[in-house]
Amino acid sequence: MCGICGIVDVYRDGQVDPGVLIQMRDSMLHRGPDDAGVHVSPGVGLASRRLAILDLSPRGHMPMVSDDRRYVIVYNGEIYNYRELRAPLAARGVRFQSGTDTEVLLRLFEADGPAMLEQLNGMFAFAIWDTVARRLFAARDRLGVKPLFYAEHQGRLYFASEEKALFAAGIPMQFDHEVWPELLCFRYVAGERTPFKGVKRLLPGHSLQWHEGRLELRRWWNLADRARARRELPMRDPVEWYRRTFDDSVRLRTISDVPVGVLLSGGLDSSSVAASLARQTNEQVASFTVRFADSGYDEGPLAEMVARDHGLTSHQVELTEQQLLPAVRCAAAFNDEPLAHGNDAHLLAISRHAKPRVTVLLSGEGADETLGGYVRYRPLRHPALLHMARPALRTLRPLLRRNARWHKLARFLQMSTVRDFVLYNACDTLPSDLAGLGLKTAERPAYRDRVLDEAEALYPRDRMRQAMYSDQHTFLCSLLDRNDRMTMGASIECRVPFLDYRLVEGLAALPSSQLLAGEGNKPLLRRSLGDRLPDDVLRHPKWGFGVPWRKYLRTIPELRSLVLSLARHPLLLDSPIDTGRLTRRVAAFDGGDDEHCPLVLQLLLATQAWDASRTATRLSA
Amino acid sequence: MTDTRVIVVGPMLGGHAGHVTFVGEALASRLATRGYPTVLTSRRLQRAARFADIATTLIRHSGNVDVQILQVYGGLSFVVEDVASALGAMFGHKIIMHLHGGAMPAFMARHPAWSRRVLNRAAAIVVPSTFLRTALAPFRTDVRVIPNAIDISAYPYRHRAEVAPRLFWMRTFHDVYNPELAVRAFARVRRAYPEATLVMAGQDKGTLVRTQRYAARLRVDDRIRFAGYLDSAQKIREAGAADIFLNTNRIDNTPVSVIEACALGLPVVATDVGGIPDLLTDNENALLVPDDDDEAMAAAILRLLRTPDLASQLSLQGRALADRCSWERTTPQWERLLQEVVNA
Repeated sequence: MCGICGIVDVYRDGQVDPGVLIQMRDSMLHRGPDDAGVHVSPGVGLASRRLAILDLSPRGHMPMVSDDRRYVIVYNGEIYNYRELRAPLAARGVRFQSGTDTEVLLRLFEADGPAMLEQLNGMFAFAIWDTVARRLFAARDRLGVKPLFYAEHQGRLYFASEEKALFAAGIPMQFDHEVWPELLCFRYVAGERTPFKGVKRLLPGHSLQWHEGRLELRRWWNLADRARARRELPMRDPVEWYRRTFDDSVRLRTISDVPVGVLLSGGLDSSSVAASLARQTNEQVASFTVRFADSGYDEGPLAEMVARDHGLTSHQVELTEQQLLPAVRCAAAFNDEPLAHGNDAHLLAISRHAKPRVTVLLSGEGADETLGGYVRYRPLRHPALLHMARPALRTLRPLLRRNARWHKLARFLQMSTVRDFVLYNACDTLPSDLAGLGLKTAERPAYRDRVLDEAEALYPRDRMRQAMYSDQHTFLCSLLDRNDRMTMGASIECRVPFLDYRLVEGLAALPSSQLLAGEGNKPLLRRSLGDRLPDDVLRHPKWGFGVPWRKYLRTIPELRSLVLSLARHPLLLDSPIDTGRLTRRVAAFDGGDDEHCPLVLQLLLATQAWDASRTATRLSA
Repeated sequence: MTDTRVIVVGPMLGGHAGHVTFVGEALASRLATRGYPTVLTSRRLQRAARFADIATTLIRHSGNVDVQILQVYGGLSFVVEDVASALGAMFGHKIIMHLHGGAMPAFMARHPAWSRRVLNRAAAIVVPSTFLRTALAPFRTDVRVIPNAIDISAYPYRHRAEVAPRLFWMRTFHDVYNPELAVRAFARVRRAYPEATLVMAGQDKGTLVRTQRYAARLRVDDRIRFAGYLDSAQKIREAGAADIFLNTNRIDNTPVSVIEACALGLPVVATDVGGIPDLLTDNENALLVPDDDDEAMAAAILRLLRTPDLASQLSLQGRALADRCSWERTTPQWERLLQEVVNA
């Protein structure tokens, strides 16, 4: 687990300044406090910061160079099956110098080239420089647990684990105002694009080659294709398969030379991870929980119950109202992009609390998207009924304002097509909410549209599965990005057992009659692992990791002041947003109109991120 | 956000104009950021007022502190350190003593019984170098080394692929820091490089005027600029314009100023005294010369100026050294120690 970066010049003799590389590398100090390295050769420079997890000795130093000095690797992540991959290589006479997965990755690349990606089970983003062919190869894991950003600038390719490292190298930090509609509706710019002009994200399951100034991208993993292939071999007992594979996924994610703990919210997903982890280890596992003073948001008692049942030590943290704004600013600085989730700062706080005790945390992320856990999916199971209910719900809309979920449903029904129900399923702010703000809302975001095309082809007529597939390529990316940034902000590695590719592919191939049959949300998970969990956890309504932002934004003086001055923020003054109308909406929110809360919150998080990134860039300049 | 309540005791004068931030202050700030309820005492400038403030703060917080981290410098301060540790022991606080200063070994040798009595109150002792650990061996063997640390992200690195004769000296003007050695070495360098410059910066503790007169006597004062005390931004600016850092101490332990120079990418030429050889490795991340030897120091500077790749290597390796001394690496060590002390 590390932070990596590099610069490749189109010309053979273009010298890379090690000083610039070190500035890039050390802007990501938090990602790897244990070691740091630089490799510079004609026309290329690679650098790495290391958070030592496997083989803590200096033998794991990066950049790592192959024996014949042809290949140089920088790598961020964990290959969970590296021991299985190492054995056949050793049998073929490969002599290993370290016990790291980095070296296994390098040797595999030497042996098999880019085709070796198929063999990997893990989370990773890495880059390998071939000094003979003068070619850079970089790749990201299937689901996008580990990040990689790049920019082409003045004949050079720059890449890094975080955008801030690109800015530290002198890539201009310019907000792309065209992303506002997507950012405000979806809270996250999905696909290759980022909120920064010229900065791109290497997509999950994709690889990149840069050779003589030409960039080639390749999709090396395609969930739709894998799901189709797996459908050829129907599964006999999905419940048993899921239990066995999930436990194996958790087992693989305990491989570590440093202590492993679990993020435990008390919900079904994290409790399943905690239960599986506790069954498979002889050591006492530490669990970490965010508490809220407001009992309406606090799942702490459930987490305590799970910890007690499984013999975990319980560590808890609560962000007080005074700590909230500094925590948001800190989280924004780590995130670079606008924070997408209301609990990002809380995740950073619990990670910091965990750091003295553990270096690896397991998380329940990914279960909702792969097993169908979100409440917002439910209406999509019966789109025909929704069509029929539309007139009634439209009429009743004023009465439904008191119930957030019904109100949201009524708002969704204003959309013109069922396809839009699916596309905007994860949104709290709809394009219609942006009307009058001066933004172009007519076009659907192209990447999201393309993903939905794939989903429709894979699951014709099954709107819920389409939404799940779309989320796995969009919303989940936002969750994984923030998981990476918030945990790495505390120098913690976060692992996500629900996203083992065997589980993701297997579930994607299952027919809905097997995946979604049964009581409650995520019925397959309940049938597979429910017997390990307390009844209270199983009966607890789907809650999520909610944060009482409505109250905070109106009652915490510093936050309220920021909200009221939103329209005067330089980022928004430069944007196409009509700040006059925005001021009126902010005033309406402040006066008690909850409908504008998601918009106000997202603008607040965007402006905080912008301020934090600007400060960081100024410091590194 | 964590249960362990900490009080950091010692001189905390960084907020006053002309005073550097002490290691204890930076440590307190780090622990507070990591969620430890942390009290810090004392910011008082005058020694007597500081003594009174420390005693009253310890009494006021006697019931809500688990661990006292006491900054120990020896000398006159040892009276305060004795009282603070005695109060902490009386209130049942676990005490971690954090020893500093190249002069500590001599002090302990002069006052062995007193030193032993005070040090025995500590649940753990932390020193920044193996040099100090060796000096402590007659008193305690359970001494842990945690290097002095810097916030490395605050130091923009500039790689020195090759260097010009732009020299930078930054310590307090005091006999211990031997500023005149820098002037003598500079005078020799100037014979070979008439365009050479030297910037000397730091607080005056008695030898600034003497150093200035000495520079005039050697007729190099026209190329030496005395920049006074530098705050962080000024320090980074001056260092950014320089190419070689000189450390001329006669006694030393783990000087933060040297670590800062390394972080900024400045090749370092330093006297081989006290804890310096534990911190720096000759020819790898610095050039080391004998104490008070201006000829050797000048020769090392000339070697840097004339040897291709040497500056580049020292600059890169210096940054790597500073990286090992970053708070990101040392804070977890402090946190582990706090846990051990509390659980003991």
